Amino acid sequence: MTDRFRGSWLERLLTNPLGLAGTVILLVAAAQVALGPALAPYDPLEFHPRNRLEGPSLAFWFGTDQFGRDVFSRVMVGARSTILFGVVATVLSTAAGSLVGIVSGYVGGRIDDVIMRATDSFMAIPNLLLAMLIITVLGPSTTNAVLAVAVSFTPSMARIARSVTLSVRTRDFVHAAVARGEGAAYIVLREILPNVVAPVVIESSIRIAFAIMIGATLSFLGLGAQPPASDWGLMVSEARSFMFRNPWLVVWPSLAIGSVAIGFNLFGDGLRDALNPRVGR
Amino acid sequence: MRPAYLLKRVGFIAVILLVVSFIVFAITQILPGNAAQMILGEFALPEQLRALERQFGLDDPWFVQYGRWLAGLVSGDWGTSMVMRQPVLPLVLDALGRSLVLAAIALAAVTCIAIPMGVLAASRRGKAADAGISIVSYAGVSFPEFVTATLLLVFLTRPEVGLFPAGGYTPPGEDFLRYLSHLVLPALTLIIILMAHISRQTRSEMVDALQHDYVRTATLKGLPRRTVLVKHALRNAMLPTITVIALDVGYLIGGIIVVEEVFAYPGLGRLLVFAMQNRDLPLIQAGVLVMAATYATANLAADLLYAALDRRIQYD
Amino acid sequence: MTPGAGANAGAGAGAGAPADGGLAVRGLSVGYRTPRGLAQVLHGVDLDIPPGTAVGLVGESGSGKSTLAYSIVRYLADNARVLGGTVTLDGEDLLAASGPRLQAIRGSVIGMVYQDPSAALNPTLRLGEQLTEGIRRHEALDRRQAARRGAELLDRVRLPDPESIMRRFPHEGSGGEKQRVLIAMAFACRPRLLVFDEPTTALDATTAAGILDLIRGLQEETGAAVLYITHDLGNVARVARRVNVIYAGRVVEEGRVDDVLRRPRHPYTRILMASVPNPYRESGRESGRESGRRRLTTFAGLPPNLLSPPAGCIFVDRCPFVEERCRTEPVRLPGGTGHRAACLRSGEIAGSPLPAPVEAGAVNEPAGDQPLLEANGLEVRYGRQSLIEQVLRVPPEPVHALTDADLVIGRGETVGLVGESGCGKSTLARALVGLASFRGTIRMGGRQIRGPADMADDYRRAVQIVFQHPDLSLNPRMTVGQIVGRPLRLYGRLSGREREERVSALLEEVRLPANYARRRPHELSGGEKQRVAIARAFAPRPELVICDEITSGLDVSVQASILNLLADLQDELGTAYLFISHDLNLVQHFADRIVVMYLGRVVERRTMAGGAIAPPFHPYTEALLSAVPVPEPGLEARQIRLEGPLPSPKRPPAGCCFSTRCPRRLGPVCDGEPPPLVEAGAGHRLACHISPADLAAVEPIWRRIESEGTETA
Repeated sequence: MTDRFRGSWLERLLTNPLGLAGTVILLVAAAQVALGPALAPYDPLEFHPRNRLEGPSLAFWFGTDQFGRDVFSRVMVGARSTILFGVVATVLSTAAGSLVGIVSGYVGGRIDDVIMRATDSFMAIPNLLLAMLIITVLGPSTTNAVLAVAVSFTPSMARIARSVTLSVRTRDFVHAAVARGEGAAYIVLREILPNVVAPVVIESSIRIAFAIMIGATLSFLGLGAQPPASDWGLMVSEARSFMFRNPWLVVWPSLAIGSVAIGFNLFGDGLRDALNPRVGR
Repeated sequence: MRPAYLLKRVGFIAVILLVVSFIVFAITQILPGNAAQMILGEFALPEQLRALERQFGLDDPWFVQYGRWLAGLVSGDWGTSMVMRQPVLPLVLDALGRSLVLAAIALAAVTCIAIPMGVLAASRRGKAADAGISIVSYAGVSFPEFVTATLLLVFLTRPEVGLFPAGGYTPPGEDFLRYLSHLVLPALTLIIILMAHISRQTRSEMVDALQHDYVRTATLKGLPRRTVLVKHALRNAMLPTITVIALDVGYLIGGIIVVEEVFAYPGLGRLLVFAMQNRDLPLIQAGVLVMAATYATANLAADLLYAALDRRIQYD
Repeated sequence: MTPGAGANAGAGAGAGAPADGGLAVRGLSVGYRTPRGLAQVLHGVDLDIPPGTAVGLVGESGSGKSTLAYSIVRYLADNARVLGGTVTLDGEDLLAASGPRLQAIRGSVIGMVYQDPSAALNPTLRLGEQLTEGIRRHEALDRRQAARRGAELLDRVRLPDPESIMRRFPHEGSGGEKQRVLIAMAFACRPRLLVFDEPTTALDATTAAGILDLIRGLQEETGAAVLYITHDLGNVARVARRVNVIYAGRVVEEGRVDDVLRRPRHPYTRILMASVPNPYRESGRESGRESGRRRLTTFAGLPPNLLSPPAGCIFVDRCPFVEERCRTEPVRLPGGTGHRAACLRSGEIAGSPLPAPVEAGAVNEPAGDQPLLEANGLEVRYGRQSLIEQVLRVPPEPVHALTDADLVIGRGETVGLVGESGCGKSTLARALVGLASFRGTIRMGGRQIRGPADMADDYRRAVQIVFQHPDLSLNPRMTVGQIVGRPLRLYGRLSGREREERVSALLEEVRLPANYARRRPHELSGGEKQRVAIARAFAPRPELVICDEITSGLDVSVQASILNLLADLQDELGTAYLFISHDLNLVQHFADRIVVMYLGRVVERRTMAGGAIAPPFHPYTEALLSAVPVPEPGLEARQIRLEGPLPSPKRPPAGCCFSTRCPRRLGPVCDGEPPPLVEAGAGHRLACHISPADLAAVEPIWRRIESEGTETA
């Protein structure tokens, strides 16, 4: 091990068993996202009419669905849309929320008051509900669902970015810059922003799991991915009519969603603890 | 706590609900088509459409419509559901009552189980009990409600198991036991995810509280470990936990929407999903507003509880 | 006693060390497991506290003094290991005590008082409950009896109206009141041993002085054994009879306080004492800024690495008297009850003076008659109405942080600004550098400034500030080079190459290696970080540097080297300082003129040109001066203690701001009328209704009492 690694946040992340487990799960998930269709033995949309609603077998590892499609292939291919959904929605909301939050926290005064009352109001509508409302306007589709989740996450990200900005802003190195006569652009970009990024990124890494779960829920409700897409939430929804005849149809995508969410949760918490060693594990 | 503080908080919520009503109104205004079109269908003649629009006041400027809707809300006239052709208010209130029962059961159960679990985990930090609770919690928070609900359905309502009804609702006056049996699985689903979340939160606040100097003072006063944990650490750890529980009510509302849908439980969530699928504007507006009001009330209650427990804040 | 400890303790026991009764620590060694190995923080420490005796334990941060204290009550971090030794109290082995026995001992047989009273009290429980819960636990008393006992205890720690105090929550009391409650708690069950862990460090000087009086009084009254831990030798002189000096986990010197303070024998103790100005000695000093007057003695080098300590004497790397044998021969504290030092050469070096601090060549004399900066009638108020308050028309209640403050700073001179927390000294600094909007005017270089917007670049370049906490004042995401180089970039037009060279030169000026430019703040020690902040302030060659409590968070030895650095820079560059501190002792040593503030107002301004600070004093200055702990045996300070809380700056008193707590209050005139600023001598003004002549007619603060010298150990 090199000296750079020893004592670094990466070492703390990987020596914490939960953080290590999360990292491993995410690496597996990342491989699924990257390779996707290459891991699937069959075309996920291909019908095998003779093998409908079969249990797991050597030919079909996870069994087949009501059209005789290979569930293993569908789960492998579905990783991409489900995971990317969470990541993209979180990245969008983090970017938008940080911008609003940093401006609000730095400018302060009446502008801050108004922005904060607005975020309070948006946050009074629960995330899922707000996302559903937005999709009702935009129409159900994966893209619209990503946008809806991103919008519904933005106010709380803005709150976090603002509170970090406020705490950084009152530190003496910012006072020193103001006293030197630095301009606002320098102070925001060079003094404040680098100190806001790390806590905001940690916070958003913890949210990815939640975004994935909401995305899957929207697909389940018919507001996200549309048939015949291989999407985990949609697969659970479609399998419900056949769940007593072939319970595996529900189990596989459920496990897939749960394990990826566990991975992101473990990784996010591990990252937070590794970057703030004082917070208890 | 001074009355002025209470007044201020209530006023604050009124303002937020006003803004929420505006957001909801604005979103529903963007929706393509309007009530007149919904009623007359796709092939309505333009003259008919305009006549009906005039009748509903849909040709007025948006702020007039908004004002009229708001005035209706305050006076108890919440409009008429376009699809069900019934007044919205009683529909919403009935459904809300059934949802609140579910939410109350879930919250009560969670609070009683999750907080002691979190305290236990924090006090045995790094030991087997902590690891066990931690693993269960991670699993609990990582399965969305629809997954948990569907898995419960698959394994507990199979014809050969048949422990619980797969869904639906029976009024309590009709058959109370059956009423209860319909509540079990939806409540259980909500409990699993919330319990995991709140116990993790309690644990992390407890770990934080245990590192404070006042815990050292209490220990070196010769107090037993249990007193130090409960009277000194938990008392402080509860403050942030209360806020989190209130925020979880928002989560719970989302969960209720899903759970009611999966178990065909006729609550506000299901009503709202129905309204959205059918673009029933008055119903959507009322449902969202009621949910936001519920959430805001939960947060107000948390704020007041916090204020009662934490004397440091000056509530004036 | 364990066999392992016998070797160490044998000599002591043979010489008649008290074997029974009181606290006896024998050969205690404690280490912490770290990712990089075992860090041993205590090495075979012996410590005796007979019943009825107060013993001081003096050391700097990292010396192991707190580990020793918490070893006694077995409250150590999870990664701590007791590697050897015993701790006994009245013959009972504390390290072997069972869990239930330990609970019975804590809070009843052993009481503790902590550094930060605000953190040590539970914010969600009433003070009465926190005070009595231990009593109810240890003694079979019901709630009412315990409450009565609690009230008695609060009375004994001289808190007025105990019943009302018991009903309060911690945040409703001042720091001093909270510390008194904690002291009452520690004394509650008539303990046989009391451990005080820096009980005055977090308190203001005048509050701390009262707490020290109380501790000494209660100790004499109850006859408990007391272990008093502090970093300040002056405090020890006030409360303890014997003192242990601890360095890097070893007791390096032990003896009666008188002996140790009068003739310290270990080089560490000698340098430690010389690194703090002695106000009593200063009171006899000559006037003027002659060479060497302002330099303090400092340590060379760094404390030893606890993971791999040196084989011989622990102090070799920093000792001015080091010899070859010091590096190889084991060094132990000799046994006995006399004055002992763990130094091979303590006998032979007793007479040799410590090396004098290095002097700068040129000395710039201050030119106080040429004003550099003049501030008139500065006023700062804080407080903004929230949106809702504005809608509801709640009247604003601003904090009067600074009221009608005048200040003149001459070219190249040092103006000391002194006062306790909440006096407005930092607010004044913030106004001067444009961080707070103010009313009134600042004049500099022929220009009038009426607010932060008037501060042009040349003003901002000429007036720089250094903050108290270097952790907060250096951006953790930047390198030292970027931090120090930024002002050069902002105010100057240097090429990248020239700037790098300037940064190296500036680092050298503050005695840091040039390669520190590539480091980040978290890789530096507290003192080093403060040097970086000083280098940044000096980068644009300012005419005035405002030093806002810049040594408060630092150990005294680091403080001394920072002060020397400031003196060097001033001698070399002729920069003026506004030196802000809560420590009157430091200010009167360092400054050419001093300004005393209280509750947002200037109460006294005086020049130090005439030598030491002498009467007439403003009554507040007098109280501050009497609160300064002096490491001087046989010296008694006149006790001037302030009663009551600091008034709220939202509602300052109508008359004299000090009238509510003034020990020399005349009567209604003080409450009703603001006092005039009267001339009390050349360059000396004070705001008091009492005439300067009356104020001058006071006894001296310090008095020698020689009879104390005959006490027995």
